[in-house]
Amino acid sequence: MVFPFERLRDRLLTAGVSPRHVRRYMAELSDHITDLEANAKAAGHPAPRQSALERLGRPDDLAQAMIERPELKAWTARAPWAVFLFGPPLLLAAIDLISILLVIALVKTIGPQPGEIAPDWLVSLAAAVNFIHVYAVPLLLGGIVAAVATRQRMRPLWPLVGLVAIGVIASLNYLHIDVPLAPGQHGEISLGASAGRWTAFRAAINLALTLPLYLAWRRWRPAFAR
Amino acid sequence: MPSRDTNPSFMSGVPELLLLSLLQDNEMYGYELVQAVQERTGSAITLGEGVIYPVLHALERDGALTARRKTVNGRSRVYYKATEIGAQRFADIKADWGRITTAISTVLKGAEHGFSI
Repeated sequence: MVFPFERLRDRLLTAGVSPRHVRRYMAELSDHITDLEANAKAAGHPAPRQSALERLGRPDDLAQAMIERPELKAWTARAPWAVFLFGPPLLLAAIDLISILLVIALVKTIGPQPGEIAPDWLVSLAAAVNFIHVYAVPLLLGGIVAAVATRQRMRPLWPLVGLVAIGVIASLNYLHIDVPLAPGQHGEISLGASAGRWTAFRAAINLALTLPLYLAWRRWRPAFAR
Repeated sequence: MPSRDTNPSFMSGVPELLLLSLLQDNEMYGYELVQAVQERTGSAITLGEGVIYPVLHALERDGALTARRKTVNGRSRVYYKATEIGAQRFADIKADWGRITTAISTVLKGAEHGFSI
């Protein structure tokens, strides 16, 4: 007789139980079965495995005991609107802040003196940050939304809302680093939000990049989610 | 698969009381806790074995227990122990339980001697 761990795991995750608690619960149940079986064997039980599974409890009861505790639910189940609407802008703000602090720290420690032109590494770094911010950050945020939603076996509504939010926010937000390319010039870091004629196009591109990622992840979720 | 008989619904809250009691001074894992409950109650109280884990997780989430993975004799298990919050919670539940058992005993003694209305 086999305990249906996979089915129980899926049921708990679909019900919104936090993946951290699900993982630990599965490990604890597995250990418990091992202990019960060893105990039954030592006592000379003719069917130790079956005895162990009976003592552990019915899978339905084991699932219900976990599902009926709201405090063990993940934030994606308790407040999906907060996770998928406010999570991406907060992550984007954190990425902006880290990028700016990193560039400032590098320029202050090993960067050019005021009035000097930027060395090649700083020109490359600025170009990389500008490129990553425009193209890679929306993909990264979309990937995070896809991973979280897939891991939690979520229905597609809130993840799709999150992906649209990422598309729009990432197209409005800009972070641009200019470095001095001639003596006497000064560098500049620009950060802000603006809507222009390219905003809708950028939002559509962001969505076109992140949506297939989510759909593919969702399609093949058993392979990725475990 | 047949289910084992466990205790009826009026026992709700009892697993929490028993687990907190056992974990006041000892660090124990799930299987050990179930065995200890059966042993100390003379099997009068039988917990649904697998369902004690959600109780333990909830107590840990409330800060009443700490949980840590520990390897003993080559087996890695999650061990639980009561915190100060857990000790306070245990004292509160124990006091409530004391009041309830006293009240029920009084009612049952009244029934033995006949109620007057």
